[in-house]
Amino acid sequence: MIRRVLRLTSGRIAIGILGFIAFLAVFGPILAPQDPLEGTTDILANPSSAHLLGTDYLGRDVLSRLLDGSRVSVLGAVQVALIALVVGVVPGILSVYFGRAFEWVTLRLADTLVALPFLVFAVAVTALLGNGIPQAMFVVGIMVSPLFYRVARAATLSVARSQYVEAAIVAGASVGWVVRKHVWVKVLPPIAVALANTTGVGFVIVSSLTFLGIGVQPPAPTWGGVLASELGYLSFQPWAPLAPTALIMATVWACNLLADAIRDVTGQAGRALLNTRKVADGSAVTA
Amino acid sequence: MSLEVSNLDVHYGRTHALRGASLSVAAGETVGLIGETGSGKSTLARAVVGLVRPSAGRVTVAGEDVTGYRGRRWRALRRRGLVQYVFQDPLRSLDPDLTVEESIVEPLLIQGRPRRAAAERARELAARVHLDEALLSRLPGELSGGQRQRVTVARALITEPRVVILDEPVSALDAATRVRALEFFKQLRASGTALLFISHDLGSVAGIADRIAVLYQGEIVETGPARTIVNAAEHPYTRLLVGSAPTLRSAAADRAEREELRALLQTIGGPA
Repeated sequence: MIRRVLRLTSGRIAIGILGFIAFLAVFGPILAPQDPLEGTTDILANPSSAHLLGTDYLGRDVLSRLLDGSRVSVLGAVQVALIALVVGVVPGILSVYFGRAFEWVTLRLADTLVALPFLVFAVAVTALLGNGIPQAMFVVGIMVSPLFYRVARAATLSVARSQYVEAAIVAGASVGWVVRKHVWVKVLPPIAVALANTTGVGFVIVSSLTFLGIGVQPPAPTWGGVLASELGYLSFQPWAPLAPTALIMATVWACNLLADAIRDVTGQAGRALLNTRKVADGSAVTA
Repeated sequence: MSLEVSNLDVHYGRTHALRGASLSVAAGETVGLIGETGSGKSTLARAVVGLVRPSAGRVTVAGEDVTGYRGRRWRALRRRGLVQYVFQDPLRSLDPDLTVEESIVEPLLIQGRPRRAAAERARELAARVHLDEALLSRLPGELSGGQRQRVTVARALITEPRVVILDEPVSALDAATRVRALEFFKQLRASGTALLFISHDLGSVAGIADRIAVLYQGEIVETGPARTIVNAAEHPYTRLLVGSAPTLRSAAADRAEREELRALLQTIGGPA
């Protein structure tokens, strides 16, 4: 699937940007030219050779702060997506097979979670469990999991009543067999799309929380935190919020672009789609 | 008896889809089950393999009473591969993401047989149903209708079943392919397999079936040797079917006669 995504221009751009962001997440703190926490007397400085993106109100190097803060944002976003994936997909598939009671309960739970405003909820949870990105993201992950639940359930439903699944059942297949052999392949492509989308949403949420000062202790830098502190001095440096904003925007955009690219290459069913393309090319031989 | 169904009732909600249907198929025998769309043919077949739960009656498969079977016990019986069901629509009954070979070997893999041995069997089966070995690595979407149908037959036969239910096996095939398919089913019958041959078309059943059962509005209205059904049917619905299949008699029943039979059906009414 990755190879086919890379064949699309949009896929290459998306993976390029996300690869760069991932690189920043890993090496950002090392790459930071100056100590992101150490203030200087040179406050609210314009970009210069010493400070490529200027300094903030405490004279700290903005570029260093953004680089150092990328790890928190990336880890947070990935955490949201992965937790939502695990919490959503498994019950989504099982809701089709585990009987009416399980189906009813999980469906109502999903409805309930969708109804809750997750930003407010995340704030409440950090108040309860202590201020930290992992706690907040854990809760947000659970709250966006209904997306995965519904995507997985819809894909499973469309396969579960199919004749090839019935043929497998007549041959003695168990539910586990049907899921492994027939359902899983059909569920994966829409899940991949949802995963890319949710990672984008995750970036927005991490940035929003850190913008509000939730999740990290103040001196520690984050993308949202840098943006918030820059906004306070808009009258002195009107261009300053551009850098963190551009970083957040580019990342979220790349996630959505990747989601679209995956949707484009997978379409309805994985291998079957490639197959129809081949037929359209006339390269497939049918007697 | 390889397959025995007695007084089978099936309800779909309030719809009474099958009423007291009784039918038996012996080893090496082919029984044709005919009836129009919605008459309950597929319902009967699905009840036999446990895809539909009957509300009353008994189903005996290979000497085993399966009527009360659920979950694990049904699975254990199915895994032995004694009964197989060839679905009506070959395209929809093959997973579009599995190659032909993966589909054919699936029943063996479900039984827990080693993959290599299963692949070997798949090649044997492909040869038996006249499927080119090169097609084994293809996806179902790349095959023609007749080829797909042979794939589903190969999949059903790979477990060497004693009973095979064929749901409209030749309806989707063109005339030449149909003749070859019927030839193949005759060979299969000769090898001792019990066949339940389901069709809406008396013409395609008459040539292969030893006995024919006629299903009308969920009820088996007539059962008998194929020759008797074709030449001396008693129930007006059967006579209408015979009259509507011009190939079965030198001259088809004329329009007036068919109208008469339809009127007669109206007066005796359905089993409702």
